[in-house]
Amino acid sequence: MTTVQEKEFGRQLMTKLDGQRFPLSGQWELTCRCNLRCIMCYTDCFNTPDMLRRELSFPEIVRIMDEIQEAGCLELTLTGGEPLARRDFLDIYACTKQKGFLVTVFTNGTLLTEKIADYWVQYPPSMIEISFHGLTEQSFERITQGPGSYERCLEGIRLILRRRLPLTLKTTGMTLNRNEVVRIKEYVAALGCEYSSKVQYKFGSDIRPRLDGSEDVYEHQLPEQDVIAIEQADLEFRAERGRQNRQVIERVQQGRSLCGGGQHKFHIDAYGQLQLCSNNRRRSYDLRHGSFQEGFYKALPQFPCPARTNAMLNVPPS
Amino acid sequence: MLEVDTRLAKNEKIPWRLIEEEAVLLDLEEGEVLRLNQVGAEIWNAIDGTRTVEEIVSHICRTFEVSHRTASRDVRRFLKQLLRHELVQERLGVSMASA
Repeated sequence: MTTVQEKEFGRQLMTKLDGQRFPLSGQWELTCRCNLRCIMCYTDCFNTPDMLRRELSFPEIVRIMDEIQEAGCLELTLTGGEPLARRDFLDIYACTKQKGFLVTVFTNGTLLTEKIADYWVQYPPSMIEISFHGLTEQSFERITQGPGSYERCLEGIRLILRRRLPLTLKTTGMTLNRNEVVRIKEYVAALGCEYSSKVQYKFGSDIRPRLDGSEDVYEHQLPEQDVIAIEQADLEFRAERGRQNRQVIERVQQGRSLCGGGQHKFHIDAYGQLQLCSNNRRRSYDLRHGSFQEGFYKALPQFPCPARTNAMLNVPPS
Repeated sequence: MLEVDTRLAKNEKIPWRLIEEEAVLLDLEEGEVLRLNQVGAEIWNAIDGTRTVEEIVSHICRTFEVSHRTASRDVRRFLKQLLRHELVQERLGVSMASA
């Protein structure tokens, strides 16, 4: 038995897997069901009774999860919709832990209960990421369109903080909250101090078309100069932007794909469709009728990916 | 000493995976990754809460074509290490003498 530090192990593993296809990390959209109707949400259009009936059942999820485990996947992110809106969420989560996954949960925080938080103390996720898009009840609920969601989200955050569980709060910058982002970050830092717990914070500005193809969400998108202004207003945002830019340049120079989709990463939607990533659903492999092994190693490499093309052409993505 | 009928289960707090004949176990609290060689990985994989220590020893005998005596010594030594690091737990309801 030998021991190495996590970072060093990450480096060793990536060196070992360099150039090899291996499903190390997956994101699983467990459901499009959600109790909120966030204005920029790309999955909410499928939060309908008809579409919800088509989602994977618990036995189907377990069967696919077995295959993913067998393929060597270590890291799984459970997302939605709102994953906690599934009645069987804790059963699914328990299953991921029994199978030894390193689990991250993306949630809106409003459905968190003592029971779930206590279970997480016993079997902790590696990270809980809660969306937090507004600093005041008014701005928050203008985005979530859920009356009472601000207070419920804060209560969910407190449940996590009281238990010292790993927590990241994140904001999608939009026209509606552009003036709040830096203050939200400060608020998050203060929360961490109040509970003597480190709370990480992420700011993003990525808006995606809805899964039904409609693009009305872009009316909320920040103009580029606003994103730059927000990033320039904060030292850590600036550093993160610099880090991401350097990473892109490095990958392009090395002729590597700009994302690990299909190489070391994959995405599964609520209907069991295996895809390169959450942002690229141009083509899918149906895990209800085929194996993960075949989907990952035979189907995904055939799927189109603009990032791959850009890397091969040695030009940065537009 | 571990009893032959002791059953051990993996600690579900520990994320792990078999990657290219090696088992990697993540100790999140310590920020460390434990790497098990091929034999260690085989033993780790055999720990499922239902197999007894003796069954794991037999499995290792068959897989690596070693004598029962050698396998028994090595498996027990390794299991004690795993217990010490709290990477495995005794399955409830099964007796175990001091390891």
